Amino acid sequence: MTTEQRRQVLEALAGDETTLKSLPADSPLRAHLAAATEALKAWCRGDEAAVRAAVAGIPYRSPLRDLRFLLRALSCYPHDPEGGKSALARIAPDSPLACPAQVVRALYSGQHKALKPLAREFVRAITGKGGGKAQPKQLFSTLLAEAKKHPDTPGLKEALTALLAYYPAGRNAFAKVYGPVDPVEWERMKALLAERKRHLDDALDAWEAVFHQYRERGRPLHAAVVRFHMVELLEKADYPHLETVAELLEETVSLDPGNRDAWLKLARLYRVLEDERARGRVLEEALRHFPSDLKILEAAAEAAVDRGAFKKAAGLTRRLLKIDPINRRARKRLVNAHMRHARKQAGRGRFDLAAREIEEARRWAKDAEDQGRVAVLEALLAFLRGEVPEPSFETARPFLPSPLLECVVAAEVSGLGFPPKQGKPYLQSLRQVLDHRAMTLDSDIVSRLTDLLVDLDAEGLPMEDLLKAVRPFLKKGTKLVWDEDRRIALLEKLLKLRQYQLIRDYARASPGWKQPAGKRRERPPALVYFDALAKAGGEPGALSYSDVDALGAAHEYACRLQQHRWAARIDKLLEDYEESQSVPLPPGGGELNPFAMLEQLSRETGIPVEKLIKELFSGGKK
Amino acid sequence: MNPSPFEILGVSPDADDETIRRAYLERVRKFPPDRDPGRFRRIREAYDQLRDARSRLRHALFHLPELEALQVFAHRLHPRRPTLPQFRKMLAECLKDVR
Repeated sequence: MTTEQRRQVLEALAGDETTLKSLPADSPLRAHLAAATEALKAWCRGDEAAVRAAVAGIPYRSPLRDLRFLLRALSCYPHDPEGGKSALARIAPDSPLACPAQVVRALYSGQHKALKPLAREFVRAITGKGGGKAQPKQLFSTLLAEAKKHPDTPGLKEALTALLAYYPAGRNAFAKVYGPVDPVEWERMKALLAERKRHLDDALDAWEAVFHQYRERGRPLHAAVVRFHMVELLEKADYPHLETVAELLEETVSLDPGNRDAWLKLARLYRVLEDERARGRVLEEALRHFPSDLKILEAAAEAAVDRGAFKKAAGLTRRLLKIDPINRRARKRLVNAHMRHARKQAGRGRFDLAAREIEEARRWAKDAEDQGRVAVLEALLAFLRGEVPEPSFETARPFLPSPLLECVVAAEVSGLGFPPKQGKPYLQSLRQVLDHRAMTLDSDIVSRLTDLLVDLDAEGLPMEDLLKAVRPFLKKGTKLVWDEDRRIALLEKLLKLRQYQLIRDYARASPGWKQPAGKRRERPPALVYFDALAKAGGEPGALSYSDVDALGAAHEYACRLQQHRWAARIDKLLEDYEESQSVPLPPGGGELNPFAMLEQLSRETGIPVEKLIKELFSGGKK
Repeated sequence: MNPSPFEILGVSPDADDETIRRAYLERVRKFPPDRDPGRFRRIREAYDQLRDARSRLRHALFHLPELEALQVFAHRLHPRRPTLPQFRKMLAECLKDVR
């Protein structure tokens, strides 16, 4: 389209009489101008249906075709900015309507100042005086004026109520149209506004009032939902008082037993508070309300294992497996529960009961490792019962290749409480096998061995002697060539086993750790994370300043690489470090304990407490 | 100016669990995660906010609409529009840019 043609289109739309008269009778512009003008008029009076009908009369080949996109973009304002912008994107830079499209873009972006005077006036006619920025008072007046005329407009009362949170001075004016604001709604708005301003205490006070009012009005679900919300708010606090959180959750579930998340949260909280009795009670009750819920069944089974109720754990896991038969974790837990129960019974000399548990474990054991471990336990039990002079592990060998078998045997011997004299040869045998196997070491056996050790540790078997025997073997594995993903997986397992020196050895053996001569290269964030945490012995509070710096840099690098998982883990570690450096508030808030502060200061500075006190009282003068 | 979860799923505020579930599945079919992950996430979040009576109650009690959303509501009640002469003046002003 030539410049002259583009001008003609704009002039025609702007209603320029001279241009209109000069258009030839067969001009497409003249042919479609009536429809275009009708569309403009319809949009200006807010009649969207008429706009649609009118633009349908502008064909695709018409010089006025872009008016369809311009009006569509205008109709999308302000509720559908994406729709508006995509309509504008269809207007080409050489279109006669490219300039009006820029004006509409400015309407969406709020950048009105650069516009020419008449374009600014056009935009202001759409956005109002505020230029598109919502002012609570002005908005309240607009909606109130509408409410005075049509109080029953759907959503209007709710919108005005919500506005009271931003503009509380409108309360009386609101009351004149809709009657006094419901006290519970008033408190709710106060609470929401306080939350928005991050005034946690004010928010909690207001929610407390809301809770009581709902309860008095006989609305238990509302009250329970408010209580649960308060729990979530408290969880965001720096030092939530856990007993208070537990009380709020107890109230939540008593008012609304159908809140599964509240039950699970409460059980987790009692676990943190080390109140196993309360945890068991809560999960028992939760099971009455959710007898077939997988998460509740899983939590109840885990709680039963933790308190040593293996029979109960096995029963719950069987129920779970009926619903979810391919749940490998549950199956493993069931096998473990039976094996732990077998050990417990064997320890009490009840060998028949132990044998029955082993039989059950065998029924559920599907993978090779589990089958091998069941066979080892069975062989040792036969020996304890005096059925054989020496335990034979031949039935276990097909499932557990060397040195896994020797490792399991040594762990089970120790778990069954064999006297040291009887247990030592098994450890010795493990050491010999490991020495021999070290000749043909490969990363696969190192991975499998650490997997097994993690499982044995999770089962609560004594690990100290076992790990001491295995450590040199694992150390040799650092010299192998590792795929970096497998190395990270191995580091995770070593972290679970609290093998901090090995973690450092493996992290530092990575090619990514080494710095090329004369060059400084950023290290992989995951390796920096493991190395620093291992150096601190797994205690975030024991991180050194240089490691904190290195972690900060690794966090930035992880963000740049978009390794969100590692960025989040490093962030959490640094957060835990920060938290460990501050003096915790006593439970339930209250004043700081000066002695705790002094102790903290002493730890940080290395100056003994007594000396610190002296310096404080002498005002730091010698 | 985020649309409400009801708008995202295209259901009315008094819709029941089944209607909401159907609307959710219909939208997921229309905008699967591989085609438009951002939109899929918004649909999923909207469904999480409305999936049952308790979730809807939580949304009703703890969601304070943004001022911009209230402004959109006000705009919908009374769409502000320029007059036809204002519109035409803006178009005429644009003529200066056509070279």
